[in-house]
Parts: sequence; C-alpha cells; structure tokens
Amino acid sequence: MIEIRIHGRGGQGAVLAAELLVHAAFAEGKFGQAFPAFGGERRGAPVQAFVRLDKSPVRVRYRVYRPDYVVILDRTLPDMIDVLDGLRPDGVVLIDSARPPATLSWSADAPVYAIPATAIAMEVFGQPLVNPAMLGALAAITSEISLLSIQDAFQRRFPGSLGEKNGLAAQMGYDHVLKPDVLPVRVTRSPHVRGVGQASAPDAGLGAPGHPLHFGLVVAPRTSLAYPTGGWRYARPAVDADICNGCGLCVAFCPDSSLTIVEKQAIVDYMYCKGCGICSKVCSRGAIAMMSEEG
Amino acid sequence: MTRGTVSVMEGSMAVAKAVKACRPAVISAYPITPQTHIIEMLAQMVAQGELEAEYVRADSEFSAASVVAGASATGVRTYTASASQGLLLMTEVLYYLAGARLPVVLTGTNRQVSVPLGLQPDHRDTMSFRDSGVIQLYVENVQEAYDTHLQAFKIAEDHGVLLPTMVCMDGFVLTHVVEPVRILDQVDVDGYLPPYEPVHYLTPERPSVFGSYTDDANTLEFYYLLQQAVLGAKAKVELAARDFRAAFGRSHGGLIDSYGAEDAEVVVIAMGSTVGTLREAVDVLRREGAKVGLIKVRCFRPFPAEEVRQAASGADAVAVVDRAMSFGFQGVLATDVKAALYDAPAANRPVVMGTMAGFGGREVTIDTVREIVKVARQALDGHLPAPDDSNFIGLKPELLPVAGPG
Repeated sequence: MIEIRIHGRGGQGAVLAAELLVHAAFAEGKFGQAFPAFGGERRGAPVQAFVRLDKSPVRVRYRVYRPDYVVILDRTLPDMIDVLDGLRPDGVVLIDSARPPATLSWSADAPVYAIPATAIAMEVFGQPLVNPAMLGALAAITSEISLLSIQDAFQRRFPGSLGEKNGLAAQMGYDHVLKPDVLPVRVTRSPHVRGVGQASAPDAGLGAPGHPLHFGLVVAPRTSLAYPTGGWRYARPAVDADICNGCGLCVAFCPDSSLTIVEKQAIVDYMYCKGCGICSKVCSRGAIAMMSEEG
Repeated sequence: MTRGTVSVMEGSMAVAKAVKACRPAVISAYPITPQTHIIEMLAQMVAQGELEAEYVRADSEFSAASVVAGASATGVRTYTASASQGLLLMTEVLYYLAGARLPVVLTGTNRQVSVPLGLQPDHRDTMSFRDSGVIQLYVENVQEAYDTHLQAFKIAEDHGVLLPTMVCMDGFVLTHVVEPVRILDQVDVDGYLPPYEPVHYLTPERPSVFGSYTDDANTLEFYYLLQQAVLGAKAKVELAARDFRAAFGRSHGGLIDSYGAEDAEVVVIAMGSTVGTLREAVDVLRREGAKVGLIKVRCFRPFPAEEVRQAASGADAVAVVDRAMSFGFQGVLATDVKAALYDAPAANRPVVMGTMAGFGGREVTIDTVREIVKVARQALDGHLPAPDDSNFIGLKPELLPVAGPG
C-alpha cells in the first residue's frame, strides 16, 4: 500500500486531486481510498487530503500519518505547517514552486521535487489550477500510477476541451520531472520555521493551542490571536500612503478587524489579514491594491 | 452472481444511489454536515427527473421527520437523513414513528453532539435513540452503506416488523470518502426489494385514527407488542442479509460479523467505520503472535445478545470499543455486551473491558488497537485491580484542567 498526503489551500483542489488519484488507480485495477481532513470549509486555509492505493481493498480508516509521498500545492505552506510530519525515510516530496526547494523553509530533511505547476497552469489555463501538473509530476516519480490514467481521470471529470487542457498540463508536469537535469533536492531542516505549531499570542488563555480545556468549554477572549490566519492569504492589500486619507471605510468593512487607522493612514495587520480584498473594493480613493503573495 | 458495476465515488453518492434505486415516494430533509451531500444529490435526482419522488425541503429536522411521518402514514415508501443536533431535533418524531409502526428509512451520518461544537464522528447522536424502538444498523464501509440501505427498506417494511430503520454511517469517514463501490442495476434492486405494501395506512375509503390516546388499561400491552416486533426484527435482519447474499453474492454480516474471533484470546467488539481498521489490526497483531479477534455489531437495536454471547464466550477477555458513553456509567455498547455475557455460563464468561476509543472522533489507528489489547491483557493477568469500565484511550493529560469547576 502507498500512502499520499496532499497539502493545499481551501479552494485549490487538494480534495479533487486525491479523488482523481483513486479514479486513476482504479482504472489500472488498483483499489484506493481518498478523503479530506474533516472540518469547516475555509477558502485559502491550509487543508489536507489523503490517499491510499493498494492491490486489495483498503480497510483502515484514519488519516495518513506516515506518507510515502507528500504533495504540496502551495509553496508557502511549509512556512505554516509541518508538511513533512511523519514522512517515511524513503518518502518523496513534491511542491509547486518555481523557486529551488532549498530556498524554502522545511521542518525536516527530505528529498524534494520542485514542480513549476503554477507556471504550467498559467500557460495552459491562464489560471493557477495546479492539480494536473502536480499529478502528472507524481506519475513520473512513482511507478504506482501512469500519466495516461491521470489524464483519463481529468478527462472524465472535465469532458471536452477543459479535460484536454488538464491532460496537457499533466503531460507538462510529467515531462518536467523527466528532464535530465531535474532531480530531487535534498533539503535540510531550516533553523527557523515560521509558525509551525506556535501560538503567537502571549496573552492567549483557555482554548488557545497548548492550554488546558475549560470544564464548560468556555474560551478566554482574544484566543483567536493564537491563530495567525494571515497564512490563508493568496494576495495582500497594499496601501498607497500618498492616496489614503485615513477615512476608515476599509476598517468598517474588514471582516477580520485587520485594519486600523494610525495617524490618518490605513495599516494592515498581515498576521491576520486573509487577503479577501474587500478593503481594496470599498476604498473610495483606490488607495488599496491587491498584490500577489507569490511576488 | 456478482452483479452491477464497480465505480469510484463518494460515500454520500453511493447512499443517494441506493436510496434512488429503492424508489421512495417521498423524501424530506434539512441539510446538516455531514449528511448534506446525500440529500443534495437526491434533490438533484428528483429535480432532473431521474427519480420520481416528492422531495420536500423542510424548514427543520423536526419538520422533515414530520413530513416523512405523514407521508409514511399514507402508505408510501419514505426516506430522510440527518446527523448530530439534527437527529436530536427529530427525536420526538422518531419515537412516534416506532410507536405508530411506520417503516421510514433514515440515514444517521454520525457526528458528535454539541457542546463541544464539532464535526467529528462518534455515536452519541444515533445512540440517543437506543430505547425508541428504531432499528439501528451500523456500517463499516461505503459498500456496506450502499447494500445496507437496500436491506433497511426490506427489513423496515416486512409485515412482521413495520418499524423505522436507521442506517448509521460515520460522518466524513464514510460520507466523504471516495472509494470503489459496486452499484446494482435497477432491475436487480427491484428484484430484491419489491414495492412497499402497507398494512395500515390513511385512506378516505377506510377512515382511521393514528396515534390515538390510550390509558393504563392497554399501554403495557402496546409496549409488549412493540418489544415483540423489535425483537422479531432480529430474524428479518438476518434474512435480509441472507437474501442479499443469495442475490448478489456478498455479505457484511447479519446481526453481527466476526473476524478471527473463533480461537481468539482477546476479542475486540466495535461498530461502524472503526471495524475496517480493526480487521487490519487483527491481521497485524496475529502476525505478531497475539491471538486477537473481532466481533462487529452490525445491528445495535435489536441487540444481538445471543449472537454476541456465542461469538465472544470462548475468549479470555473482551475489549469493547465505544464511540458513545452513558455519562455517569460507561460506554453504551460495553453495557450491552456485559449484559449479554452475564447470561453465559460462568466458566465461559470473559473479562469485559470497556474502552472509549474513537469517541469525539479521536482516530483509532493500529497502534490504538495495540494499546487496547495490551490493557485487556493486563486486566487478564491481574495487573489491574479491576478492569476500568471507561478507559479513555489516548487521553492527553496536558489538556485537562488542574482544578475542576468551582
């Protein structure tokens, strides 16, 4: 049995990727199981999906704790969560990144393939749909599943030209890995991995990570400070100080209280801003632009 | 004999397909995670004309249960589904359905009950109907969920039964998993499940009163009849599974299923999706030399006391994996297992240890089972003064408050 853990952000398609892997494996006569980590759906939040593939029906029903493969759909995720947790000694990591893996932060040593899945997706779709390139790359790395089965799974899910585009992107991910100069890079544990399992609020009390439970599950105020939701962000609001007059409209509309006015200037708290872009839309002076986090 | 087509799909889709194939006339539900996908898919099937049924989107679970109660009373096949708080809101109506002997089939997609507000699977929600007269079947995988919905209508509508029947499937673990499942052709389902022929139903041609008042002159006799009906359903649960096997060549057990229990020293008893993990654990632990076996309680009500007694009485120790607790006493399943084994001859009566594992959705892994078996062995060897009735497996002491309330 092989076990795969997919890390992505809500809305990115980690769950779909897991599902399509089982479809692809099933078409090759294998059995499989795909399921998401259970919780409320949150766009942009780190999510996980799990896959098991085997020659016989999969019976166990728990999360993948010892993955053979870790597939990471967003290169900022290793900053926030321990994506390498439990990776088997001979396990392999795939990450969507145009940057060399060694320049990212990692919680452990591991062999990592960097797949330019976003670049491939922008070329094929004009949108960052990273799944097909990542699964195509996985097909090139593992002998468990063929590229053709992956392409067929996409084609069945997205009939017609969209399926063909997915097939093309999968091919490009596959071809990338097979280039003679593309090898897994042995990354090492970074000295400071930001945010991994750390509560950032010094005054967090009951209900915050690492604190005991209240007997009636009453939670202290401000414990949400311990959840740095800024990690959910794809894009960040950038305030042009010359245009902003400190009117405070953005403060009124921010659903996460992540904006304040200091000396007639809007200040964004990037620790908690989820990058929804409402502030940018409501600003009557056009002082707030949304900038890609990738940049 | 192996009929139908295997394809990969979400557990909820498989359940929706099973319900569709059973041709209910009325479906009513109110959405709640993790049941939502099932009823969304059924609503879509009705909207697209694939399923000829009345789909009533209710304004609450109480209304949904009331709609199917009313519809069932007119003598048609009905279906609903819910979870957690939603099931609890149906409680009053479910008791009514059992008393009025209306064979509604419902899915309980198991989810913890607030407080704490959460989405994880455990059995507190469906267990709250333990004493209602509702038949309860717990399933371990998507195939069993599909097959058991077909069987549930057959059991519920049997003229010797006529009781609401609930298929309990662990939320997310089974509703949201994507795996291969064999879906039967409509003609085969029709061959297995004939149209519902009601015995008692509301019709203007033969006016009658449902749910009428009684006093102490006959309520006791009424309860006696209800008890006979629920107990009588045991044979029908077995029959539905046997017929299913004869027609389609597969079985998930009748009232119970056992795996390696015959010669086991330690037998683990469980219900629902943890059973799959336990099967794997039995194989792993047996390879390591431990004589471990498994009994799956598939039908929780009526409780298969005799079957559990026969399957477990050869063991030295029985460890019950409970996903629901009667606070102030012990695990709900453990209580029933003990009651069943009390009637075994003293020489064949194993030590019974209740464990709270999988409770609140805490995952049961192979290592969890290893720990459970270890504790059971310690109890056997007398290393524990007495087996604890409520072993919370995997408890994290660091999360417990230093001082209690007040």
